[in-house]
Amino acid sequence: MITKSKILFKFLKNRKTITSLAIISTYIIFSIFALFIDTSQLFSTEFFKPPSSKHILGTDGLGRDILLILIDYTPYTIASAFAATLIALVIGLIVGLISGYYSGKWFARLLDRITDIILSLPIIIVIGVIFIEEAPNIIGLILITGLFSWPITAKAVRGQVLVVREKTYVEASKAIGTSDKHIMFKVILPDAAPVAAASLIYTAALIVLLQAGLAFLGFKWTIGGTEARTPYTFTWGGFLGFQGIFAATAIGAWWVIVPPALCLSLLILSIGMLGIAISETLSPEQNRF
Amino acid sequence: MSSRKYIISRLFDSILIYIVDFFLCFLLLFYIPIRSRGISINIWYLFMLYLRLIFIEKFGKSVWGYPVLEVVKIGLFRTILILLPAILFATVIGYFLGVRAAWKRKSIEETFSSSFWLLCYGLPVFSTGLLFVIIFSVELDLLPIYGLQTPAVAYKNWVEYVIDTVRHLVLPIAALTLTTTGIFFLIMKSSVLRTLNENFIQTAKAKGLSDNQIMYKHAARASLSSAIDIFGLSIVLLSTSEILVEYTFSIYGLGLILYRAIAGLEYLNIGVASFLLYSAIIIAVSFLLDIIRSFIDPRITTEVEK
Repeated sequence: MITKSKILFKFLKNRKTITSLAIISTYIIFSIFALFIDTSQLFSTEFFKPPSSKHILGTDGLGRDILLILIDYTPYTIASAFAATLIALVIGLIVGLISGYYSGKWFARLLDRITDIILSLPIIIVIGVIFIEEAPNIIGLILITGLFSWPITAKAVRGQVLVVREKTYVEASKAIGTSDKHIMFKVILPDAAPVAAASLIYTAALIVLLQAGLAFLGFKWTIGGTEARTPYTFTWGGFLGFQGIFAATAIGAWWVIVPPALCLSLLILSIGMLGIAISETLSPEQNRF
Repeated sequence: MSSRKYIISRLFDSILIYIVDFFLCFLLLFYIPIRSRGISINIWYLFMLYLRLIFIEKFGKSVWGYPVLEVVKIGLFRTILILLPAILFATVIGYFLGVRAAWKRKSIEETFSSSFWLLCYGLPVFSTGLLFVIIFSVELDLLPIYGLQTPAVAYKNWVEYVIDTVRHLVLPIAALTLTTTGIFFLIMKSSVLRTLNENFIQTAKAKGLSDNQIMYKHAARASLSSAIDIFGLSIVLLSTSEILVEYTFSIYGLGLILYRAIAGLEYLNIGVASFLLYSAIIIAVSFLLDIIRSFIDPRITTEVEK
């Protein structure tokens, strides 16, 4: 008999879980530190100084210490990435379950077509228009990126549900008159959840790329309707994308570009690895990565 | 369902999706921007203007007075010029390395290669692009920074022209290839891992086939269908990366045209034209992928019927 604590132990023993939890907790510690940073003291006259003992990661075009801005921008970046990923996961799971379980019915077909339509758009442009014209704030950013990134999960889950639906235990549940809702959420969901978790690495990559890309392209956002503190969007992507980044490139200031890029990459990988670890724990017979 | 019927039903779906995209294009790139500029106008009248713009005026003219269709055609050519080589390189590298990594899972060299490609997968494509510019253009002064041709240069013959263009193309293609290879590596590795437990792999091992034969002839082929399926989903990642690469290197392809249109640097009509073309390309590619997949794995043609 496998108990819950055994499953939890197995999940925590996985190397991927340890790595991703380590990264995520580092980011959370960063976010706590961010509360204590006095943002008015960040600016100085030491522009584009390479890493030294005084500034461990160097300074940017406004003379700000890069380590300090990285920490300062952490809460917004990880909060928007995690929230949007969660939205995409939940919607994708529900849409995938319905469109797989009822495949052939008209509303399942409608859901399939909506999925295909979202996948056929140049998505960053669509998101850019809706974001800048309708809701240029952090809630808008989270909602819009989440609402446009679920098709990956939905398609993966749908494929799995189509396979599981034909299994004998599902037929048996149907034969004894179990309701559709019960079958979907109690019988099929445990088999579909690992697939959804494994697809997180693609969803997270898309969401983080979209959020960073919007900031890089210069779409500015505000917090709660008021203008941002600085002229720049304060996420790691916006940090990469403020207009001075091309000046930084021209004088060869690699230390401005590498830290936020690595932080974004590790953010994607920590979410993705957590998903893969969950799916490996739930269905141990399959290696996901 | 026969494969011919499957193709026809997929074609029908694709056309349906494109028609919806046509209306979405009106809403996103015509109606919303015009309304947000404070112009109150009847939506049906605006839709008539949209139809007239497309079917009678043939998209009109761009900011600099060139016919939009010409500009978009050149933009499409430029987009393909950076997208196609990147996809080709990434397919080859990602395929072989991904299959190998799945086969030799948990060895030290494969852990290293997996970590490297995963990191590349996660790195935003514009930061790799800018880093390449710093290394190869600013520090080493080997390659040009932006655009497709050196401005204000008279070429003596077409060979010089081609060499100059290729020199400009190296960095954007390299940046896009790195990201795309990460995607393909991930897809290939996870797809092959799923087939390695199957019985036919054990049979192949028992027959005494060499590792390479099992890897590329049995495991890779069996997982190709699911790999193509996931690739179809990650087209969104690829197109987003491609648009960002065009912006980073100022290559005036479809993606940059679209960006300039929604950022208010171009008229809306050029944005409409490139949006319609861009979504047509994505739909065509996913249609082709589905057809290829139905030839590799004929079971999926019956899946639709259920």
